[in-house]
Amino acid sequence: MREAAVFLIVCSTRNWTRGVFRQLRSPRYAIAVLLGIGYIALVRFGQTQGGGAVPSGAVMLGGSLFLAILFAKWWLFGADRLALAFTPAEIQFLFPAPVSRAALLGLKLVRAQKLILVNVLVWTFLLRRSGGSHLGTLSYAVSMWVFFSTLFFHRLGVALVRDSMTTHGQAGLRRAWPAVLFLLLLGAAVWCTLQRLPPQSLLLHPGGVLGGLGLLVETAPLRWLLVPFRIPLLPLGAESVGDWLVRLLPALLLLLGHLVWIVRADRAFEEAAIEASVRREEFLERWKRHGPAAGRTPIGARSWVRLRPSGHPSLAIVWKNLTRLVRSVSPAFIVALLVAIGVGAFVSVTGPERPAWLTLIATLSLAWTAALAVLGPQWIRIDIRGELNLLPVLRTWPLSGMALMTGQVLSSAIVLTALQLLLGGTGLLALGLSGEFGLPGLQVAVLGAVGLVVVGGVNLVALCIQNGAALLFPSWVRTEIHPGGIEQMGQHLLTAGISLVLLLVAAAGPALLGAGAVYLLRPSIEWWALVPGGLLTAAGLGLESFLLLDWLGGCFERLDPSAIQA
Amino acid sequence: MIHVESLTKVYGSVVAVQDLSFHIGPGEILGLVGPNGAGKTTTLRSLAGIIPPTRGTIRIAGYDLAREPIKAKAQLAFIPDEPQLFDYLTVTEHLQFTARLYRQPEALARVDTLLEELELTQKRTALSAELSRGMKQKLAIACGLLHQPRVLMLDEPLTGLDPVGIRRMKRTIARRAEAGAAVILSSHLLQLVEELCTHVLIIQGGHRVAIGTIGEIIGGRPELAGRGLEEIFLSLTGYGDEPRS
Repeated sequence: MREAAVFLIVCSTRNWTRGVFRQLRSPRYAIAVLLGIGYIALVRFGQTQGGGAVPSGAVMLGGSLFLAILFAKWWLFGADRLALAFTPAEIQFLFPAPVSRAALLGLKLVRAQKLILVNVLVWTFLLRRSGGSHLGTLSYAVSMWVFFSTLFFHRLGVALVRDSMTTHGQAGLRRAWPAVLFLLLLGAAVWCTLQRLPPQSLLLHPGGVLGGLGLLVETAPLRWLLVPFRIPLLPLGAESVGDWLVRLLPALLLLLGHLVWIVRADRAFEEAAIEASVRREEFLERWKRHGPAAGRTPIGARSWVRLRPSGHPSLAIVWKNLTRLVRSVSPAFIVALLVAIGVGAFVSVTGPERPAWLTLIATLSLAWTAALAVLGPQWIRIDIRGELNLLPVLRTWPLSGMALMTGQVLSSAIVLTALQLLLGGTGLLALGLSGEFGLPGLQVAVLGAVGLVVVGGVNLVALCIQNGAALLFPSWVRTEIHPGGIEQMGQHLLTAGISLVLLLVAAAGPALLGAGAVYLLRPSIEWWALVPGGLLTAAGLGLESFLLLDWLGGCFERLDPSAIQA
Repeated sequence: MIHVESLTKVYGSVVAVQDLSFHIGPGEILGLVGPNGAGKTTTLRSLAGIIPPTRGTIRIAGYDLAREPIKAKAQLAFIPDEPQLFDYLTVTEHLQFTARLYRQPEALARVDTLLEELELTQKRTALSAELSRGMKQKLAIACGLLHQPRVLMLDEPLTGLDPVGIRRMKRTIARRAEAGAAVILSSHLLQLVEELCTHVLIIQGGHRVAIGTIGEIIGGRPELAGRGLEEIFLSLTGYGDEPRS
């Protein structure tokens, strides 16, 4: 098995590397790679210039708490079976082969190193704040490798143990007893720690809530309970090479313990592995189709607006795409969002620093409204970009290309504009409540409504540009939604840059038209001039959208499905 | 019902289909057969309006597919070998959506019958992502049949179906033809083609090798008299000396 595993890994790596170099011969791919590398270099340069390192104490505190919560979640809820996933080819070749379970797991651990090493590289070269760290690049990378490996090994171990317990008929709390025991101990430790600390030291801590929480975690006996979760992080807090070596030893021992635990477990995991592999393949298929935003399984056949039997087919396409969105958002996410909004509203309206909070909310909301005008068309993709691989089906529909593209573009435009309405409305409301905004309510309402119409027009044009890019360069845009590396970062930057320039060019004419109207009418009707100005701009954008959709319809009808499969 | 004249499709320097002409009348079922890479899928995709032909004309129920694509497409249904469905729509919603696309609200009255015929009644509220491969295939077929197309094109229609499903599918295809639809059926299952099809079109390397009823084909090659479609196919495509199983 060892020779076969080495052969598999070496050949796969060699062929993958050859494929990458072959792709580099394509100018567009090479440009994308260069742009990606340039972006990483810029980010890295900015970090070395900016300093602002996170203190190692905070890393240890946050990291150990994060590990404790993560491990408890894995033991309690078992959202970890994907850790057992193999590729379909591995299942077909290796599972029926005369190979021991330990050897299969060994291969799994070695294969996982690819993902672990990518994480190490990202955290070492992209996300590391160098200012206050005492570690060299190599020792930092090794420390990160130990941390991520321990994380992966534990996840795999939990998956094996929980699966074995399920197979043997244990369910519920009996299956999650390690986590239940830990949570009981945690509760007891928190209670004991709180007895030792005066309440005001926590509530009135100069560092705020986080400072109080830090004090709590740093105090025994809670501190002792979190010690095991600090071990994988110990090397990251080293202050010298000698210190690092001393701290590395327990972390490595813990990692070795995990390795022995997994390999010697000898538990029957094949059935769970096959199930996990199928789930992972389904997830990847959805990711390829719809991108990261729709990479999850539909939550369920949640009922909402029913499609009317008659009406324009474009509206049926809008309904279909909105259905996809509705059925992709989990109820837990909606509840969490509503709770966050509720808590935010309560704090900002009732707290002693009410005006400051309201100003902050207004600033953030309005800034995001503006940012979405640029970024939203790339993020919200419930249109032709998510359905390029269904092109053969779409092409058999008895619709003109323009009707189909109108339905597709409208779907994203409606969602994007609704989001901006929500954010913009929140911003204006917060601004009004803060008392820092002098305009009367009627004026704000009228200008807000006109602004919304203009924003809707901008969104339509921007989404036409994005969908046009997908139809004109299908293989280019489609690869953008594959999970990928540096070249996709470069492709994304290039697409975003060109799209922004095109949007600015397209919006310039209508904007000048509106500005002209405001200039001419302002002396006679003062601020009301913004209304005809805004409406003229929106009309210009609407006309442009109509012409663009007509052109996109032609592009759709001419697009060869083989160009997408290439 | 389907008139194809000099259909040619070229990809770069590769000629996928060359100068293909044939005609299928109402009630006829044409079996499209050929070795792998013969150009069957390209032919079907061209006829369904998915890819534009490089040369030639295609008329569906009297409408030129290039000049009046919407009217032509409204008359046809194409059912691919791999069902392409929307994961986030239920079985019933797929049919409602199809009725809207084809502007046939009255087709919704046929939904229950169609679901019953294809054994999908129990799954009507299930998302397509929750269906098995065979069930997905049945749903794709239901969507194709909902608007009662006058031209039906099926690419390997029995893939993934169980024995009961296969029998029902064969009966459905025969009924559609009896009702006056022109059917093109592409399949490697020569027994199925022999059983269902009134005519056979054999293509190889993008060229037409033979077309007509089995009797007409044998008429042109008397040495094939008394043989089944499998042997006729192997002989005409140059694999006649393959040992029998």
